[in-house]
Amino acid sequence: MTRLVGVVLALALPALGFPAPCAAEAPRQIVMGIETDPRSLNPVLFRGGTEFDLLWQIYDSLFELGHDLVPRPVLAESVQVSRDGLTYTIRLKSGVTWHDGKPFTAEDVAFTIREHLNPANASSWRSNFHAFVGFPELTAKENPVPYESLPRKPVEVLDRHTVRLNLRYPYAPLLTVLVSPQGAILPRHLLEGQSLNTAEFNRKPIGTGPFRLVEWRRGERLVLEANPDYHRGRPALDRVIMQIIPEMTVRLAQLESGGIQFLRSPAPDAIPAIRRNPRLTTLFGEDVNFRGIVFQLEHPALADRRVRQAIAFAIDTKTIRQTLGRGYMTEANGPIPPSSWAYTTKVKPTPYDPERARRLLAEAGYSAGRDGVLVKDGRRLSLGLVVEVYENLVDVAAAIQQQLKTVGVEVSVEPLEFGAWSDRFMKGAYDLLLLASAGSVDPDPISYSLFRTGQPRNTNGYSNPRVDELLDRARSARTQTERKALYAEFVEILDEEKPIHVLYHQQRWYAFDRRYKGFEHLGVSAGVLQSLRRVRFQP
Amino acid sequence: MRVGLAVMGARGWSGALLVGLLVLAAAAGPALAPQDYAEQDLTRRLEPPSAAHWLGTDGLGRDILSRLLWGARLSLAIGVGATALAVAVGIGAGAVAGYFRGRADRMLMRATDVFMCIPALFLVLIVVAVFGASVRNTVLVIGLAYWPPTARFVRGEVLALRGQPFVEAARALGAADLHILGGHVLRNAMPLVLTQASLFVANAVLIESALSFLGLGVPPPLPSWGAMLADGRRFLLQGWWIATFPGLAIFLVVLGFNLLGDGLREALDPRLAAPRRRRGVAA
Repeated sequence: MTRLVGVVLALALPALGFPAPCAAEAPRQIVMGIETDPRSLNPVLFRGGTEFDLLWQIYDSLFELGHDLVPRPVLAESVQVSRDGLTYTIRLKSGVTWHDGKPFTAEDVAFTIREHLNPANASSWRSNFHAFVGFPELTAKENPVPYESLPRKPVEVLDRHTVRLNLRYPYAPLLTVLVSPQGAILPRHLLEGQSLNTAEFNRKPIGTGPFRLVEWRRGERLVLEANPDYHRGRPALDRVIMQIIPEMTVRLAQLESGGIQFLRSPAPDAIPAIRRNPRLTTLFGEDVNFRGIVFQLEHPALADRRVRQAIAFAIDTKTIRQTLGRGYMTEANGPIPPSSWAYTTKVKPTPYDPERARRLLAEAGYSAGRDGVLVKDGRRLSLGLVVEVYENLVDVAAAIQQQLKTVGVEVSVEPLEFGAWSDRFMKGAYDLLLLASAGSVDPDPISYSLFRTGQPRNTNGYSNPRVDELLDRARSARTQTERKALYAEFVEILDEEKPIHVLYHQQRWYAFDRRYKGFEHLGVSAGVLQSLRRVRFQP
Repeated sequence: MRVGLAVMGARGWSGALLVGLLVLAAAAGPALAPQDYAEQDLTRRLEPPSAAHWLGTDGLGRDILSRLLWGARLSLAIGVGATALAVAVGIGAGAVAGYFRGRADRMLMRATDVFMCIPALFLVLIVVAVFGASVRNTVLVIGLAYWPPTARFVRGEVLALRGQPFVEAARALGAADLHILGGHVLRNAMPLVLTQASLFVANAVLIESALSFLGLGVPPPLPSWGAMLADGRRFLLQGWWIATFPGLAIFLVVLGFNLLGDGLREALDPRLAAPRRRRGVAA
């Protein structure tokens, strides 16, 4: 009898709608569309792009940013800062293991920081570590001192789970540069003694993060699997597939048809169609980035402040934000975004005032030439504008070109791919340059590198002793109130002198299948990827 | 030749009609265009075809019809300019090689071999990437990359003609080489060269579009059809009209020049028109 019941049940169950095990089970995976292969998956060699999407999953850092953009511990457990602000004693979490099963220790932290400071490695994050003891000696252009010979080390291992960071001067933003994904920690046992730039590891990374890389087919896809031993709990999804689809139009079509379930930063013009699709949803948020025009101050016309101000007044950023940006661009009064604690309300965004622009240009000695373009001493006011082919920046540049034409400034737009664009930027080879800056959570890293005299990214030759002083004081001031006042004055000076005219802050947005719950916005580049470990499928 | 054109046939004439329309658009385009090609209205972006904008507007609110009409000028100028250059160089090289034979022939033909074993589009891409994009550079580089086929063709014709009795008669009467080459040989090769040239214009228009599509053609905001097509690709899901109309324009112009070329060949090539009366000496 019981046997008979068993047979009947076995036959009836599928008919009753209980599926066979592998058929219609809730998908515990997500397919995400990304545009290119990452260059490497070694966080010390971080260059941006799709590396963001992956590093966040594979590695952990000592800290990560909370929604308030304040660092909170991940691999760290607690931090003690000395009274003078020069030593940070960090207690690390114990019981954390690498994807290969080896334990994570203080040696790994020391190794990672040492590799960032090693000038042989192509670390783009190194300049953020300038406050460390030994930074000038280690990175000197001539006769750099080897790490072993430093009398005092930038990082000391106190015991298996404690490190001490030694600084040359108090550096308030220190914890914000130790966050993911650029501050991710590397396993010493797999990399010691190897050249980081060429290590096989960069293609087969091992981290402590929520997902492990199991497959990387170049130009096709990367597959990640949940790390069952993750120290903050196993991720809800089993697999994450990063599908490489170079064309935005194709990525959008794939999202619409269900081929992929997640897309970050699609073109704003695609928003209405995504909104109309009942299967999809979107997530929006502010970001610390900014987009602005860099003036080459060595250009004879642009050396005149009135010309720079006139150009700023002649650009109708409001229309650009509302039309090209479809409202997803935030008004700016300088490089520091409204979402930052350091934002000042004292400086008003530059208004659109073409009349004032014309007056300023007339004051600067320009008069209309035969073809309508302004002329001074026989030279036409004709400027090149170098733009990176990114987001809708080429359209923004074309709009600016047209707007400046109405006040008699001729602009020729030169769109370049990132590599060529970056080359021109770093060499200062431009008249005008449209800069897409990722910004920084703390105002210091980006402000310092763009506006401080002689910094490598200050390529337009801007130099103002007062600005230098403000930036120097702001980075080591102890209280946030003190720092805020210093940055407010800094933004005021920038607004007056316009070495860079900041146009807007580009908001971030993501489109995905609405059955995936748990995506959370974080106001930094690709910040939403930090929440992937908690994303689950819920029909 | 006058007799020849009359027998061009329907295909040839439909090609001529399309080419005629292009020439008309290029000549009168700026007068016909409702707007300037660079005039933007950001508040009227991505508008579908309507009474105000017959072919719609693009991502910057520019009128697509106006841009197409202005672009016709650019396409025609680059197509014809590059062809003229390729044909001029090709005729020179081909005539010298075919008429004088010997060392000049060997050297020139090896040069064409070298050129022809590098994919011409690849060559063009490199040169433009290095020397920068402008209308002049585009014409120069397309013209110079594509002379070898013309040179080969002309050489063949000249070889065939130089043994003809009327050429020998001229030589017997004491005519100079230059006179024979210009007055007798090339003059007779001309109709076929023109046929080839008209086919090549279609090719040059396509190459220019490809270059602009890749962002290596004429710099913005000059409205090259290829660049308009590339621009429209970004909006395929939001505005089909942005890529469709420039694509259609390129298609029709290339088709037109090809039909015209075919028609001309039918009318002018004695090998096709009257197979029995082939000229004696084999090429």
